[in-house]
Amino acid sequence: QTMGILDALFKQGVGGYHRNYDPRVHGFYSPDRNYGCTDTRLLETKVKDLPAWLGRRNYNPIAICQAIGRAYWRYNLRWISPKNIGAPLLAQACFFPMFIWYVVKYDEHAAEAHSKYH
Amino acid sequence: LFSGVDYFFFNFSVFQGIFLIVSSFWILYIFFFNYFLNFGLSYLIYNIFFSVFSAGQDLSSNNFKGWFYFMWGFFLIVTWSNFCGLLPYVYGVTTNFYFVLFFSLWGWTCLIISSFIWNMVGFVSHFCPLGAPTLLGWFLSLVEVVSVGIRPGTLTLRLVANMTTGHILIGLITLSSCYLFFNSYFLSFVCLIFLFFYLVFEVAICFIQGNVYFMLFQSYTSEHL
Repeated sequence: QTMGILDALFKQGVGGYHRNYDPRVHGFYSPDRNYGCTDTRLLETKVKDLPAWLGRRNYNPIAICQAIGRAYWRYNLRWISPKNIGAPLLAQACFFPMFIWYVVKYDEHAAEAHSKYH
Repeated sequence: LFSGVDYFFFNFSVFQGIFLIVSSFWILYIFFFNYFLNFGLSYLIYNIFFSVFSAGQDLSSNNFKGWFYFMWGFFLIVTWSNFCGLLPYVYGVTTNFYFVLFFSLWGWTCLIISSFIWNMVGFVSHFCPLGAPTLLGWFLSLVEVVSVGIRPGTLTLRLVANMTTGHILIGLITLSSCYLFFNSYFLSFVCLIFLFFYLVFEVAICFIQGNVYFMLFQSYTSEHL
């Protein structure tokens, strides 16, 4: 019997909980946690151990997409979902296009501070 | 403080602008469309957007319900670009006539072609108003054809003119505040207070212009088909 696309993806770990997730051990499921990783965190890794740390990473495209999903949920649960979010969210939304356009238009405004006539 | 004081002329390709704006409007979904919550800023903004969403759905014709989702994307792009145009160093892409014309012409052409293919006789007969006198029928049909034909132009010009006027006024007020600073501190401060309230008004204009753009497109679907 031929295997469907969804079944093939499910075998790769797409969809459903992580195979290492156990509600008796981890409690409620949290989408921002990596249940399959027991390695040290990036900011806690020594510089001399960094090449080895990078070699142990999983560069499978599915794993990269899952990491992006976890990053989204980390941002969501920290800045969007809480009850009183307030101004930082709007400030970030304003800073993002400002930074991009500052870089894009840098050649035009780089000499403004030093120009003789404004 | 704001981009209205920036007198540099920005020459860039329209495709760069489209890429930058479309790649940034996903922020709206991340920031403001968390509709699982019943409190907070997300709830307030979600309610505002949902009122526009439901009003737009009511306006569209019964045979053309799927068009609404294209127009919803236009609304998000236009509203977000309008708001970004007020920020420092950001080029307001909706002040570019050709950028807005791209969306208007695309949407209008799709509606015309779709209604023409769906019901050619109904599409052509729509140009003659009901109850028109026989002698004036030809003239009124001509007027209707012209009014339908300039719709992409009016949609574009309305948005571009509103945004450009807002940016020019912001620049003039800040310029006057700068010049007054060397003569009278009090008048310069009064100008800045006026600028603050005008900026709040301009943020509302950004949303209203996007709303008008979206609602007009939805009303055009009720005329065709």
